[in-house]
Amino acid sequence: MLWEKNRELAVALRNQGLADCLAARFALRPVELTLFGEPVTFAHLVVSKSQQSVEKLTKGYLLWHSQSFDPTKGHSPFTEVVKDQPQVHKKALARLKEGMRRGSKTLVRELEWLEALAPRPPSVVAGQQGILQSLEIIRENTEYPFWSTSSGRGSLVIPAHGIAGITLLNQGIRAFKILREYLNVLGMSDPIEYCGPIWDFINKDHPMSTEIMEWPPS
Amino acid sequence: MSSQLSTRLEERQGLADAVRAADRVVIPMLQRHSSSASAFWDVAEDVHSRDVLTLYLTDPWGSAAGDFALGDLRDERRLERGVNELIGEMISPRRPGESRERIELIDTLTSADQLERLRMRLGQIPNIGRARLQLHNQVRLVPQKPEKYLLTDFAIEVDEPFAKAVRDSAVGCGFRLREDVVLIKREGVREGLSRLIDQHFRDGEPKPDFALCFRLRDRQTIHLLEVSREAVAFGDGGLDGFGFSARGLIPHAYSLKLYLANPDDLYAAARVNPDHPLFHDLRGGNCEFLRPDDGGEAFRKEFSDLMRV
Repeated sequence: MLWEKNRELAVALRNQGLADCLAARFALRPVELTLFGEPVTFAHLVVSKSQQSVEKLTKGYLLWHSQSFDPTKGHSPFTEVVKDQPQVHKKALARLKEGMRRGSKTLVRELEWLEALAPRPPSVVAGQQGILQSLEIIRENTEYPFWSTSSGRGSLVIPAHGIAGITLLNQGIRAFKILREYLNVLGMSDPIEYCGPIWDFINKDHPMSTEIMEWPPS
Repeated sequence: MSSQLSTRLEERQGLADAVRAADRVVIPMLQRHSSSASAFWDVAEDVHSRDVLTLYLTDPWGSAAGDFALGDLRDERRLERGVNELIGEMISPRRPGESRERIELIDTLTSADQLERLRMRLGQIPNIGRARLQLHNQVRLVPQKPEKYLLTDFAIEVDEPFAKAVRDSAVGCGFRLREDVVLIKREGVREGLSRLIDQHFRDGEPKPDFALCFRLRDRQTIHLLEVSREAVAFGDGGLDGFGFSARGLIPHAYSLKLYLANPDDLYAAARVNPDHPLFHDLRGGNCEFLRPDDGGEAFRKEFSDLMRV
């Protein structure tokens, strides 16, 4: 399939990614809410919005380069080149990764960590298609509660409650720092038509700290 | 210590006499604060066609301007109050409003004559009294050159609308602006880039066979192209740069833009995108070659076709 106006769509994806960044920053705040008696944190929201922002910005970048890139496939374009996509996308992504690795190996490693938290469909072996599969639970899943057997007897892990797995101080700040660094790097990169507004966003319009605090400041 | 009247004011005999009479109050007040200050009087009209006398006070470290009515000049207490405010402002400018610009000049051996020429040129800029001009510098005596002294940390701060005229004056008097020195020529930049390239040799990334900088006039960003036979050949003619903060890596630079290309891709890029700034600079000889550090001889030999594209 070819997107008729791939660059317009790429810009829309980019802007949606920047909106996700605003949401992540908004959620990186000290909340004192409870849900049926349990204290609630927004850590899972910060992490998932940061991951989604990186995902959309990267997909927008690939779509800018190619009319045939399908942004609806997969949640982790940075770590997994979608196998059934044409070679041209693999090239654009390989160049992006190579260029970034040359400037900051840490950033690429951190992006890979962030994408590892993205939802993944269960892997279905041949002959099992169409049959109900158990979800592949990621230990530090960003959004869904799950049973953990790490304590021996098993326990329910609910990220929003901040009782295990995800906290603002740990994964929340780490995820948002990665996103902010990615925006800075992408914002200073080519093509300027796609990337330039990202720089304006993060450096002129919305400079953001990674501190846990109310945002935007009143 | 001098006081001067504009030609326009000299032509108004009555006003000029009133100003000269006022100077008998103004000049002693000025002398108490600064031996190098000067006063300049001008006349204009307000919206009701009344005469407004403007007094500009300047010395090498500041300036101030204020308006007086003819009646103010004849009332000694009012005149003293107005002049005192101006002297205070000249010593420590406080008026908000215009954004300021700091024009930095390169350290230089200078003479008193050269500095005086600069002062005179600055004084001739129209309305300079309103520019809140301030000079900053450190002076060191150089025993080997007793007729000159070393001027360091030299900067002129001025309201933004006057910045161009001040720059022109400084350059016209033989001073060099720091911003005129391209990043690659500034202290420590080349060494920082060499360390970065060496790092790429060690860290398992494609080893650069050639490294050069282009877009040398960019005042914020270093554009570094590395050509490596080990780099993946994409064959699509793309030559995108990836930007990073230069903090801690390259002094004076805000950002660093890295371009990596396989030799075949460099040719492909020249065909697909001949207007890329890299090729303009290569053809115009506006590149700085870092690896090998031979002024570009090896690069020209290897890519002779590319230079002719």
